[in-house]
Amino acid sequence: MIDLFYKAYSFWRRYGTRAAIKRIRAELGPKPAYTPAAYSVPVIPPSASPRSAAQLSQARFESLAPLSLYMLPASPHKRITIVTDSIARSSLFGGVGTALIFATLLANRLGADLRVITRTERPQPDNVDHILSVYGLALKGEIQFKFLSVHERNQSTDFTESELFITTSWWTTASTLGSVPASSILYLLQEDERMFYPFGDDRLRCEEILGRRDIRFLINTKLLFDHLVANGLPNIADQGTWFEPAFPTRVFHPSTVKQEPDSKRKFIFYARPNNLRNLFYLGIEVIEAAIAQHVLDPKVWEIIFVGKDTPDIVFGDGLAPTKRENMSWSEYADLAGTIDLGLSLMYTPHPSYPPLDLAASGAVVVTNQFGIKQDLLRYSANLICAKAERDALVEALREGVALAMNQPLRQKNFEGNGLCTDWEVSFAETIERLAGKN
Amino acid sequence: MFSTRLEAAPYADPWKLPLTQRFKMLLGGRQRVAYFYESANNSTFRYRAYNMVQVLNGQGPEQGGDGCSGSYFFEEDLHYIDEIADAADVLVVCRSGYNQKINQLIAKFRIRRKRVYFDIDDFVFDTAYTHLVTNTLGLDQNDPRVWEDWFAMMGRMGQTLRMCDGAITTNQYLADRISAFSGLPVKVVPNFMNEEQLALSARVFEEKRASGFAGDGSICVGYFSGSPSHNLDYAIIETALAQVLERDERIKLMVVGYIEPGPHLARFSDRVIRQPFHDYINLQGLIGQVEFNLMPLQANMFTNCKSELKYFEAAAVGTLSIASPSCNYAAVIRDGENGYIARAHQWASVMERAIANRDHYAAMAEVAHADALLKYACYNQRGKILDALGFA
Repeated sequence: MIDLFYKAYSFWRRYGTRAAIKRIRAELGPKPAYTPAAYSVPVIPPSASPRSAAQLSQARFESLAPLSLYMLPASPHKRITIVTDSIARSSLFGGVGTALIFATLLANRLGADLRVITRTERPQPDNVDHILSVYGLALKGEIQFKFLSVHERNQSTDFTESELFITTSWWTTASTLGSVPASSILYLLQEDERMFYPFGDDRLRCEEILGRRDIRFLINTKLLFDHLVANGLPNIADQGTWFEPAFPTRVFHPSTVKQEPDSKRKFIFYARPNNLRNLFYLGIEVIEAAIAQHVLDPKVWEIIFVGKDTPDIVFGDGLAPTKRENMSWSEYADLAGTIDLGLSLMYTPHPSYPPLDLAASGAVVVTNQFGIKQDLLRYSANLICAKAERDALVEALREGVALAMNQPLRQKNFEGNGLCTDWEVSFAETIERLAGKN
Repeated sequence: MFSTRLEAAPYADPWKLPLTQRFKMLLGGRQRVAYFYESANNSTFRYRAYNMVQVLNGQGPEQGGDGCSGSYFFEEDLHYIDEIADAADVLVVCRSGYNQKINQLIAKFRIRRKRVYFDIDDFVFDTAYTHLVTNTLGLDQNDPRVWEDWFAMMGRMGQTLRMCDGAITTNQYLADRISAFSGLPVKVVPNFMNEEQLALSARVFEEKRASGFAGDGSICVGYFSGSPSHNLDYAIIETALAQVLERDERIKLMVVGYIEPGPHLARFSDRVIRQPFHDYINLQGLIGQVEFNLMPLQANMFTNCKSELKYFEAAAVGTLSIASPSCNYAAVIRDGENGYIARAHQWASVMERAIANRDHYAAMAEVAHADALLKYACYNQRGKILDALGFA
C-alpha cells in the first residue's frame, strides 16, 4: 500500500495534478471487458508546452536514464552490486532469484559485500532471506539495499571504479552503463530479450545493448547462448559465457508423502496470461482438447493452475481448475514435488524454469519447441518437447500421461536426470574466472 | 520487557566545573594532559575528553599513582591559553575544525616543544568522502548549504589533524583511515563507560540478575538514537519490525531519541513506546528495560568507523544487542554468545531467532556483561590512554 502511495506521489510530482487525476481515474474506473495483454507502448502524458526531442525520449524511456551514482576513491572493501527492477516475492521466481544466488556465491568467493539496487519497487530484504534460506546459502558479508526509482531521481548511491555491477535486463544494463565503466558490468542474460517487443524503438535499443562489445555477458543455459550467437549476436561468443541452472535436491525432490491409492493424479499448468511468452491461450486450448479426447480424464487427474492473474475458467462440463497463486518459493517447491504431469510453455529458446523445476521434482513435463530448442533430453528424459501446436501438444500430453503412469520408467528417467543440483557447481567456472580478474 | 524499581536519577552535567577548578585538576600530576574541545556535550566530548580526564585523575580530581593528571578546556577558556600551554605537557585536540584559535592553541604547544594529538571518533576529516558522509546521513543533496557546510567542516577537521604529531581514535578501522589520510602515527583508545554510568548500570544489572532476567511476559526491542542522523540506519529495520510485530503479539518496540517509528509501524502504535532523548545516565535505565537493543547500520566506509559503544552500554545493563555486521560490531559480537548479528536481509529472522532463544538470555547477558566490563569500563583504560599519550 505504501508503495502504491509512493508511485502515485511520484507520478504526481513528475506529471502534475491533471495527469495524476486522469491516471487515478483510469486506475480506479471500470475496466474494459477485455484488455489484450500485449506489449503496450507507454503513454507519454500531455505537456502544456512542446518538449525537446531529448525530453520526449527521456519521458518515453525513463527506465534507461543513468543510475544516480557518485564515485568514491578506490576502497579496500570489495562490493558486488545487482541492479534489478524489484525483489518482490513475485519477481524472485526465476531470473532475479538466480541473480541473487550467483551474486551471493560470487561475493562469498571474493570476500565482498553485496548490494541490491532496485528500480521499480522498494526492496523487501526479507525476500532475500527467504530465498537464500530455502537454498541453504549464507552470505558471509553484509548486504545493502537501495531504491533508485526510475521515476524519482532524488536518491543516489556511491560506487568505485573497480566495483562489479551485475545487471539483470537490457534496460538495467543501459541505465548502469550511463554511470559506471562498461568494464564493470556483467550482464546476466536469461532470455532473448529482443523477443519481448514488436519491431520498434524498444527492440532496437535492446538489440544495441545485446550487441555491445564492451560489456561481459553471463547467459542462462547453453541453449540460450547458442541461440544468441547464431542469431545476430556474435559478440556474445567472444565476451560471454554460460551456465546451467541448478535444482538442488533439498528444494526440488519428489514428495515423500505417500499418495492415497484412490487419490487423483496431479496435473499442473503454468498459467500466466500476462506473460505472453507462456502461451496461456494455447495452453488452455490444449487442456480443453486433452480433456475432450480423454487424454486427461477429470476422474483421474486434478487440474491445477499455477501462475498469476489467471482468469476464472471452466473446462468441458464445468470442470474448474484449482488455482494456486502468490506462493512462496518453498510452497511452490513443495507443490512441485507432488505433481505427476505438467504443461509448461515458453515461446522462446530458453527452456524456462518451471519445466526443469518439475522434472527435478520427479514429474513428467510437456513443453514446446522453439528454434534450436528441439528437445530437452539433456536435462531429463521426463521432459517431452513438441511443436507449439494444439494437436502436437495434446499428443505429447498423451505420451506424458503414459509416462507419468509408468512409475518404473518415470523413476528411471528421474534418476538419470542431467540437471545440475548444486548452484556452486553451476557457477564454479564463471566465479573462478571472475575471481581471477577481481 | 524488564521492569526495574529504579527511579530516575537527578542529573546534572558532571563536567560543568569552573575554569579555576579544571585548571587545578590539570596541575594535580607531574605529567599533565590538556584536552581541548570546542564546547562540552553529551556525546563526543564525554567519551573522548571527560572520560579520559576522569581516568587520568583516578578517583576524582586526585592524581593517579603514576603521576599523570588531566583536565579539559573549551574555546571559551582560551583567554587562558598561555597558562594552559605552560602547565600541560601534552595537548589533545578533540574533534575540532581548523580556525585561528585552534591554530594558535596548537602553535602554543608546538613552540614549547610539547606534543599535540588529535582525537577523533568519526570518519569526518577526508573530503574525498564528504559525499559518502552526507549521503549516509540522508542530507539533502540538492541543498547547496549541505556541500558548503560539510566540505568546510571536514576540510577544517582534516587540517587540524595534519597539524598534530599523532592521532588517537576509537578503533583500528578508523585508525587505518586516519593513517592513510595523514601519514601520522595513530593509537587506539576505545570509547568506554565512566564511573557514573557504571554505577547506575551495575544497579540495573544486579536487579535483573536477581530476578533471573524475568520479564513481564512481553518482549521489548529498542532503538536508541543519540542524534537525528540515523534515519537511514533505522530504515534498514523498519519493515522487519513491522513483520515481527505482525507475527508475534508479545513484541513491543521502544523508540528513544530523535527517530520517528515510520509509516510501516503506524498500525502498531499501541505497541510502540516513544521516549524522548535522555541524559546518558538515565538512558542506561531505559536500555535496561528492553530485551534487545537494535543496532542497524548502513554498510560503508563511514559507518564501519563507528565504535561499539551501543553494544557495551547495553551489555552493562544486561541487555543483548542485535547488530549489523559493521567492522566494529562484528568484531565484538559473537552471534549467539554475547549478542546477535543481523545482515540487512535477516533482521526479521534474527529477531525471531533471538526471541525463540529466550531460554539462553540470562547466560548470554552474563557473557556480554562480563565482556563489556572487561573491555569498556573506565577502570581498565588507564594503560591504553597513557600509551596513546606517549607516557607508557
